Amino acid sequence: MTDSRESEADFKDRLHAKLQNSGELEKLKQTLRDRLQECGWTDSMRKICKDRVRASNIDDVSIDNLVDEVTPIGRDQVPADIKNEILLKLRAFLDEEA
Amino acid sequence: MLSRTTWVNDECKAIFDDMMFTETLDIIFQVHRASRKGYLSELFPEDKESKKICTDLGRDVFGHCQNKVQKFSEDIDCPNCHRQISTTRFAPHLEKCFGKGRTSSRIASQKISSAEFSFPSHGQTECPEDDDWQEKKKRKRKKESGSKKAKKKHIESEKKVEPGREHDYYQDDKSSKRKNLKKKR
Repeated sequence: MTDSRESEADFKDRLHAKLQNSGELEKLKQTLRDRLQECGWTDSMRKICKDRVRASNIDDVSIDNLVDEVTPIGRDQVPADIKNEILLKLRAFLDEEA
Repeated sequence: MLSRTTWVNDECKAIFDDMMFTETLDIIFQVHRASRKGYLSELFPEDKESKKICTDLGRDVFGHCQNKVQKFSEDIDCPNCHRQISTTRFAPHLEKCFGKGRTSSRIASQKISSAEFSFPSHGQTECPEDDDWQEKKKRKRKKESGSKKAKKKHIESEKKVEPGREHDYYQDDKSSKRKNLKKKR
């Protein structure tokens, strides 16, 4: 059992390394960025961040605070079709390599 | 043990979440830096606040006050008369207020002499030395005025009167002296 777990972990690392080295990860990141920009998610998120910053004092505004507040909102606001598109591509790549 | 499909699905979701987090962080960094450095308003030019037109009375469309005269200096409390004086006029005011400047001392001495003239008994002070001093001052003033008049006459006789400049010779002693200096140069 432990061997299979270790091999699973190693397998995971290998897949990640493959994803990175082949440039697939970078390509997918760029695709995601373009899709989010097209659908207006980036602008919406920027506006939310700006509103949070303006609502609170300048001293209270820290990266950690913003991350804690804004990340869950961002995750929820991603359109389902973009999410599915990226997930499909990832799955296809992983299935190929596995 | 998880099936391969479930494992792959979980793995994909994890990678996707990672990518989303990177994008969110990018935006947060941008906005945070803009707020710290003070160019947040430039990042959002479509903000309605900048497009609003001010319709208040007494202000222009940008909200600036129409009065061009703006007070750049603070008023200072004069220690003598306890009035609020503008900083640019403070030194001349002090001169007059404390009576130490040339103008104020001249005015004061003129007042004293005019008071003496109208009330001669008043002019005599208790101390006889003071009277002598005042008489000396009078004599000195007479001498000076006399010499100035002589100078004036001398100048008048020397110079031709330019048309339109006759009035110059009826000005103060100071200004005529100044002109003499200029001519000498």
